[in-house]
This record gives sequence, C-alpha cells and structure tokens, in this order.
Amino acid sequence: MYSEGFTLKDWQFLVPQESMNTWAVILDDPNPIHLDASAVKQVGLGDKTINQGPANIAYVLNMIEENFPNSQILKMNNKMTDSVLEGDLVTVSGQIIEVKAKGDQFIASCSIKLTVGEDKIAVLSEIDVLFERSQ
Amino acid sequence: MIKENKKIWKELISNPKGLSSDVFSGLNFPGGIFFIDNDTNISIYKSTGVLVNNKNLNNFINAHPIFLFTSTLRGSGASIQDIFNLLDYDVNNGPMLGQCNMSFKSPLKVDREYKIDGKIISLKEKISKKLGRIKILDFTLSMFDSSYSQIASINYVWILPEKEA
Repeated sequence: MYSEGFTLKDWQFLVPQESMNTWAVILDDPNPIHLDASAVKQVGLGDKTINQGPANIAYVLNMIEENFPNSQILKMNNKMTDSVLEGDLVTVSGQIIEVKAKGDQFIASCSIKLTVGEDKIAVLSEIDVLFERSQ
Repeated sequence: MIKENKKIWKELISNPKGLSSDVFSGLNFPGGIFFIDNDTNISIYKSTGVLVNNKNLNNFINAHPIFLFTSTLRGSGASIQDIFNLLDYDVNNGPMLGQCNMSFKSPLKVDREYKIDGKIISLKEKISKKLGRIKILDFTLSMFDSSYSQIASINYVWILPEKEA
C-alpha cells in the first residue's frame, strides 16, 4: 500500500538521436537544436543536440505509469531546470509526499525529479495521481 | 468571439515586425481540432522507451498523457513555428521550454477528436545571467471534447534567447 514518504521505483532511459527526430515530427517543431549539433554550437549551448522538453516530461509520466499502473494523472507541474542531451542516461526518481482518500480511490501527491548522472537535475515535477485502492 | 480573435491573430502575423510585447497579452490562438491517432500514440510510447503491450490497458484505451502537450501545440491553429513567426522570433536562437503545468479532468482517449483553444498570457523581456537578453512567453491552451466540456489544460512558459546585437 502506498503511503506518505514511500520511495517510488526509479525509471531509466538512454536518449538516442532517433527519438529526438521522432519528437520533432510529432511536435512539428523545426528547432534545429534538437536535430543538428552544429546548430547547438552556434547558439552557444554546447556540442550535442538537446532533447525536446515534452519528451523529458513524458519520461516522468512513464515513471508514474510504471509505479501506478492504470492510474490517472490529475495535475502535473514541471520546471525544466537543465537540458537533456543526446546519449544521456536519464533517471526518474521520487517519492510520495501525501496520500488522500477520494471515495474508493486515492490521490497520491508525488515529488519527482529527472536527473542525468549524479547531480544534474533536468526536470522537477509535482504530480497528483489518482489510483485504485488495491495498489 | 473566436472569429474575431482569429482575425486579430491573422492581422498580427501578417506584419509582426516591431510589435511591442504588450500587444500579445490576452491574444487568443486561432483554435482548431486535433485527432489523437493510435499510431502516434504508439510512436510516443516507443520513442520514450515503453513497449506497448496488453499488460497495461492505459496504452490502448487512453492516450499517453503527454498528448496534452502535443495535441494543444499541434491543434491550436498555430504551429510552434507560427508562434515564433508571430513574435518575429528567430528559431535559430534556441528557444527552450522553461515550465509547463498540466491539469486533467479526465484521461485523453485514443481515436478521439478534441477542440483546442487558448491564449497568450504575456511576453516579457528579461536579462538572464546564463543566457543574456531573453523573452519569456507565457501561454495557456485547453482541450475540449465534442460537447465543449474542458478535458485538460496546460500552461506553457517558453524561454526565448535573443541574439546579442
């Protein structure tokens, strides 16, 4: 049973350029910093392509879905604090801050972070998720 | 009401040079519709490292929640490039998503059409220690079902670095 302070299972993903190419099409986003490393250099943001922000948020959502299968996201606030680059291994981790009953279901408020390596935090998220009593 | 706002967006984008940032506050997006198809849903799962299988019903019945992001941006009547064109902003300067806050009244469904509408909250100029001169674009888009009930809403804050003169 999930409860306050419960540490959620981590979720990891190695970000390939192929995924960024897919997201450029999905978003209809022509921004070259996602597709061309020389464009990233040109704007002084490093020498690797930069992952699309919504893809990073999708990783957080995947972690929530894995921890709360068949649940429903009610609210999600995201602060993008750093970039995720091509080839980065991202880790999504977090814990439950509060659990409230709602009829036969529960709402878990979670504090989540998406990190690259030891200490680079790329996304900070606060999420309310509605889940079944059985979990 | 929507027709009038469409006209305003259309008028501004036809000649965006030299417009004051204040002009964009409260500006309604043209609005439009977005259909969430199964293939794109699977593509989103695959591109974020999740294999779609029958162990999780959410993968089939409900769309990935990130569709709130993609649907609103694709179905608002203005593409990301259109928004940058409206602001007379060069995409080569490297715009970045700073924040986004999402809320859902119910899950998004696959094979379902949604109406998208929203407005620009503000465009503000600022000096960033890391990026120098920037603009901050704040806008909200919402998804509605066929009976015009709001299903979900998202607020975006984009960071738009300016090229130094």
